Amino acid sequence: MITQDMTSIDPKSPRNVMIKPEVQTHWGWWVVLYIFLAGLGAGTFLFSFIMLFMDKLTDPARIGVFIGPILVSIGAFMLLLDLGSPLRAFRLFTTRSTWKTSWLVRGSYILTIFVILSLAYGLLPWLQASALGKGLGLVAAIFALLVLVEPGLLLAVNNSIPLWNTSALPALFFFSALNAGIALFVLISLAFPTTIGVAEFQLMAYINIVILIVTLVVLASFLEIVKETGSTAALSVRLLLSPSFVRWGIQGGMLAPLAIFILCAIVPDVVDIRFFYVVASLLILSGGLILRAGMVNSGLRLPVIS
Amino acid sequence: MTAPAVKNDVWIPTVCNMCFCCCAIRVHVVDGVVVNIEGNPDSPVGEGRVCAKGATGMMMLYDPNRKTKPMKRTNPKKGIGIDPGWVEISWEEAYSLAAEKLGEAYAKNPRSVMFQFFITNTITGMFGLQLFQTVLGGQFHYPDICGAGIHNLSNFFNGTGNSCPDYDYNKLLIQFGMNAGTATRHGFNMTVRRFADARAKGSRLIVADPRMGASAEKADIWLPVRPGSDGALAQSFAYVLVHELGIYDRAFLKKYTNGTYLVDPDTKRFARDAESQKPFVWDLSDSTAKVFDDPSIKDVALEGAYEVNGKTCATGFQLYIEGLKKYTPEFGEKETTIPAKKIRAVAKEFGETANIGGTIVIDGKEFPYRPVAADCFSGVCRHKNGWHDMWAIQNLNTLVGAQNVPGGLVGFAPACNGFPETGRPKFYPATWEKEHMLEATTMVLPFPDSLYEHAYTPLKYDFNDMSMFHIMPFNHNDPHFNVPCQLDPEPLKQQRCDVLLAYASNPLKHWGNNDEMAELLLTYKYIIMCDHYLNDSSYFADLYIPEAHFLERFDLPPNGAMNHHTIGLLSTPWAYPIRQPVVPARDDAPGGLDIFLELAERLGVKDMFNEVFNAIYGLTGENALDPDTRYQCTDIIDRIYKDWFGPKYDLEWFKKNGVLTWKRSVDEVYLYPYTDARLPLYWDHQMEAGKNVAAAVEEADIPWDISEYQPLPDWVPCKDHYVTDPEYDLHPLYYTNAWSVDTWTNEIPWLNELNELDPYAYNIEINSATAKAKGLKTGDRVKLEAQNGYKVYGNLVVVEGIHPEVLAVAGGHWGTKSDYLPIAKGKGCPINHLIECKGVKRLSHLSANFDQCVKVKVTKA
Amino acid sequence: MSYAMVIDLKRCVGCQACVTTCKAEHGTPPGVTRSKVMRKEVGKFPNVMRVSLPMLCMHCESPACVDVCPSGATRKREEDGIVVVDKDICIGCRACAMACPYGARYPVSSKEGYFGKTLTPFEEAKKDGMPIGVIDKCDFCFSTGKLERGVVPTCVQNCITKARTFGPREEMMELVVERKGYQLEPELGTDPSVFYLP
Repeated sequence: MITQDMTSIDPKSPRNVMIKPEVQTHWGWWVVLYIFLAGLGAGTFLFSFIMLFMDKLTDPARIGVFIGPILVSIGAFMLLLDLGSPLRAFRLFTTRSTWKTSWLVRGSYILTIFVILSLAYGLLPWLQASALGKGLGLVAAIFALLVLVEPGLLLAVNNSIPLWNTSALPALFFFSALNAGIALFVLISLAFPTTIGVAEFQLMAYINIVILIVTLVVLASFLEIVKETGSTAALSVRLLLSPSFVRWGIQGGMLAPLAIFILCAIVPDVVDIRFFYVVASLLILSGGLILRAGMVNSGLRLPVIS
Repeated sequence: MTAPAVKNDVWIPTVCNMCFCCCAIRVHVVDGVVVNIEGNPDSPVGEGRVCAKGATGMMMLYDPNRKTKPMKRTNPKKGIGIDPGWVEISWEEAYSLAAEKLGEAYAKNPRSVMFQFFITNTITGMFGLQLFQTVLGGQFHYPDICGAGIHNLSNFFNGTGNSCPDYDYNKLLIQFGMNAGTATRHGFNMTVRRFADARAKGSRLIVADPRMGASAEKADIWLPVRPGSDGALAQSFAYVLVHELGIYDRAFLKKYTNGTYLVDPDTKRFARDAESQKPFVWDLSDSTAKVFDDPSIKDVALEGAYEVNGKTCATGFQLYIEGLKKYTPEFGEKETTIPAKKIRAVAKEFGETANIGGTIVIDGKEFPYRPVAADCFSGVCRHKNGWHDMWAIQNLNTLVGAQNVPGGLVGFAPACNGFPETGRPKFYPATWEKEHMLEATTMVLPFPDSLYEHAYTPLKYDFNDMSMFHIMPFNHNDPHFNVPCQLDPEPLKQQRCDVLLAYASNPLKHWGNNDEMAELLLTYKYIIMCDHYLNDSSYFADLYIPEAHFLERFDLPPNGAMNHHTIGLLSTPWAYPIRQPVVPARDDAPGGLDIFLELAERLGVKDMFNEVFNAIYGLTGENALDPDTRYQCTDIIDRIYKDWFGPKYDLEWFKKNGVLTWKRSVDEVYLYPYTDARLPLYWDHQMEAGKNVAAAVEEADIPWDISEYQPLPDWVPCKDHYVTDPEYDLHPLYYTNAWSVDTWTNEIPWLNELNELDPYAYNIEINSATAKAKGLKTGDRVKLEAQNGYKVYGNLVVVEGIHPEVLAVAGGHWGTKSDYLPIAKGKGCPINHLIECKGVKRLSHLSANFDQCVKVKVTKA
Repeated sequence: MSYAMVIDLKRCVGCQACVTTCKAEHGTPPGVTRSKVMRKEVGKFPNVMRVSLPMLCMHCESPACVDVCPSGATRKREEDGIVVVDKDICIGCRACAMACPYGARYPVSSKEGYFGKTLTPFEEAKKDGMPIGVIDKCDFCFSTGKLERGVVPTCVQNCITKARTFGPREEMMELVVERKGYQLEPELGTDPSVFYLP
């Protein structure tokens, strides 16, 4: 039977009203490409620098330290294109005191310094061996670490978007970007068939396996942590874990390359093994892009009244 | 060095026309461009505020889709989507074409011309077009679905054609199927503030509405009734008050109603004194029947039956309460789906809050104080039984004495003592002396109008008047029978009109099924449309005459005694404003009145036009119009204001000052106790009217239903309540939101944006339980199909705030197919398309209410 | 001193006049609704309640948007607490729009007006206040000089139910305390200056 009386409902206020969480619409593909390319570039540089530092796989590493900053620059350019008023981008550097709170400003400085230092390091191979060069590279590498973390922080500061609003996000982006960087390194290595042999590839397979597993663990914990923070976050996670994301982002982008690398590590001297490295690396790269796109596009805003 | 450019920066007072309410606005014009519209704080009509529609006036003014040059069609083929081949013509050609076509038809038979307007510009509609129709003698159409019956009921109860609760003093309001003061109604913008004040002061609101609309959203109690059952609910409330609680205002009923008059059991008519023809009442003090106004009466009987001339005659009130006996709360529960317990509780609260016997002193005068009201409007009007339903609702007020007293239901502006300096305009509702009944000043301009005299006037059927006003003595507002008659004149032996002059009107959209309305438009040989846009109906027009936008033109005086637009109440001073242009008209298009004045001149009826003006505005002396002079709209406004308010208040004064106001006094608001004229409780006069109608239709041999002419209200279910096929199980209905009306507002992009952001407006609401049972979900594209085979399509939104038997869409001329309205085109779901227009079964034969109650089956499209 | 606004939901009928009157005052382009009304319902039929919630910039005491702004275009004015955007400086990064929990910020990105590419004279007249490529938001009608002229913001002035009260925050707090008003999303720590009365 139909009966109704407002007085029988919570008399306090409409505070228990849910307004539907909605996906943020302000940041789209330009930002996704920025996060991806900046991470990829910094990851490539960082791994290449470590290899140079350790004097391993130096041929691809020399290319890597050069390609890294270029990719980061392209990424930064994407961010520039994303601006409503790109001609005013200089204000990122001319405004006093906003660096204290704005990750965009901090990021601009970090990216700029990184690109200058790493390009100097990458473009001047004769320097790399010197102490000065090593010091320069080291500082660039430290900035590369910051570049790896910065996009995650840019998103994570938004407490109106619970999916992002967690310190696990920068961690996830860090490992995922490193992963992509190494994958690109693998691809670069294919250009040096003479110096990069079976053993070297096997080494890279091991490194990939480790990083992939770490990334998977971080992703899993990220999802678990976020899910617990509230209903909007849980909804975001559900939105993120769409069938296509699971297939191409997780299965294709992480599990499949992991399986391939394990295979490559176990049986390193199969004929045409390089083909498998190419496939696995490309899968990691596309997986990294999908992860970031998914993350940006699943950013549900908290309902206004919760 | 050059001086900085001095901007021509002015605020011009004028009057809005984004709906018919005519709120006072002031328009910010900088260098000839309208840059803002605000409410005019000098006027009580809006008090310096505008509604969502009002703020968008400049979006219509500057709409590039507005057509501002006269055009004629070159493609003789008419139909929706068929390019009429419009070509621009000169004003000279437009006027001569219109005059030629109207003149030809007029010469053949004046009644072959149909004049039609819609509610949006009622000023020019009524005082331009309708006057033109009067002098030419044509027929007249006005598709007022929303107000059918209610205005004349208000005439009977509140001394004028519109009523509203006395929000300033009201403590409990029951609204039936309406969003008055929350989303709609005459004087919306003024009402909404008073209503909010009332809520803030703790006034209770109870809303009977199948959908949780703007009012139910604010209500303390929502009664989700089945559509069309409002009358049953009101009668159940009355049952509880009378038969269970014994709460009714005996003193009021005795003194201010005809409920004490005795009724002859055989004729159901008043028992009258043979000589004076005055009805008898029963004096308990000496147990004698006396004529009602016998000064020797000491204790008049309200209840009971008494022996008069050998017959046992009950009082009218006794018959009323006996008639209520079948409307038990259990009956109410069955028909309305509201639990009997709830009906009892609401009736009790209403009766107890009525404060029967209480008084209040306002401005030093003591009044009865009844701070309750039952109010209804558009929702209930949309049922064939609307007259009886609204009558039953009005009786709740009468029962507890909450009529024309503080706190209760009062007329918008039943009386006026006139502007203090001139004493004009001055009016007061008359008394129909034969039975001492309260009459009314009409709802538009304050003319005395006696519906009781209409009831007693013998009628003759007119075979060339599709409005049927000639056999509907209580209906002179709603010529709704025009629609079925123009479609098929045979059954009522009528003759079609050949030429249509439609002003600010989109006939195709504002009635029932759009295809049938298209068919109706095809029956005209020539159609002249005067409008701002080419709408759906323009696909059938032959000649298009543009009217200047309201920010570009003068109109006859809005507001003031034209109380149709502005609520009364003590807190509202009288306001006489001006509508004036704030920018020059695009392409020099003239205002509507000037168009009609020009046509009148060309048709040779200028003199009559001027005479009628003199009559309706009561122009005297040097301000009277000379029959042989061709006047402009501005001349007429100038004369009206000077005549009413003195030479100081001429056109120039109004152009500068915008509005003339003065305080309203208590005797202009509360009729009781200033008059002792009575309200009808037992409608003997309706029996008389029914008798006269029966005689006229019998003589003419016309099929005509007179069953509605009853002395007491009765509730009957809507036509489609009888639909028994279980597949057709849902009632679609439309409601009004605060920002959409008719066709024009749909084309306003800001308002379109609101509707697109609103979760409900353009979608079809369905109750979640119903949706679940049918396997439907939000976003589903569905088809609604009525039993008559008519279909509409729309997108579902699953909600909780709606009766499980109901589907709802916002009201408006949705789903327009006109390519000339690119913003409005295709938006929303036009559910009135489901209602058949042919035949008269959906029309009340008493008050012309159009029953829009249909049942549909809903399936995925 | 900070200004604050109190919105009485007992009075508000969700009529949307605050939305269009804001458009008339500022000429905001399509998609930009500085002032808007959210609608939601709670409960199950028949014990259901519908709510209209008028929204605008909350002019927070700790605004999330100011912290993330890289150019310094967004700031909270010390003299009156109004959160403003300097449209000559804003670079259009939309970090503020992301950070604002109330959805109060709108990037202006298209040259098109409400009727397409050709702007109406009204839109032309308002164009200077609506540059493309930067953020637009409610500024309590600071930009059109209403406060300077001693007039309350348009949505307050024009509210047909008189649901809105505007004034110094300390004064408004008395009303808020008396009527048990509340802020939206207080747990985010933004401390809005727009309060709602149940």
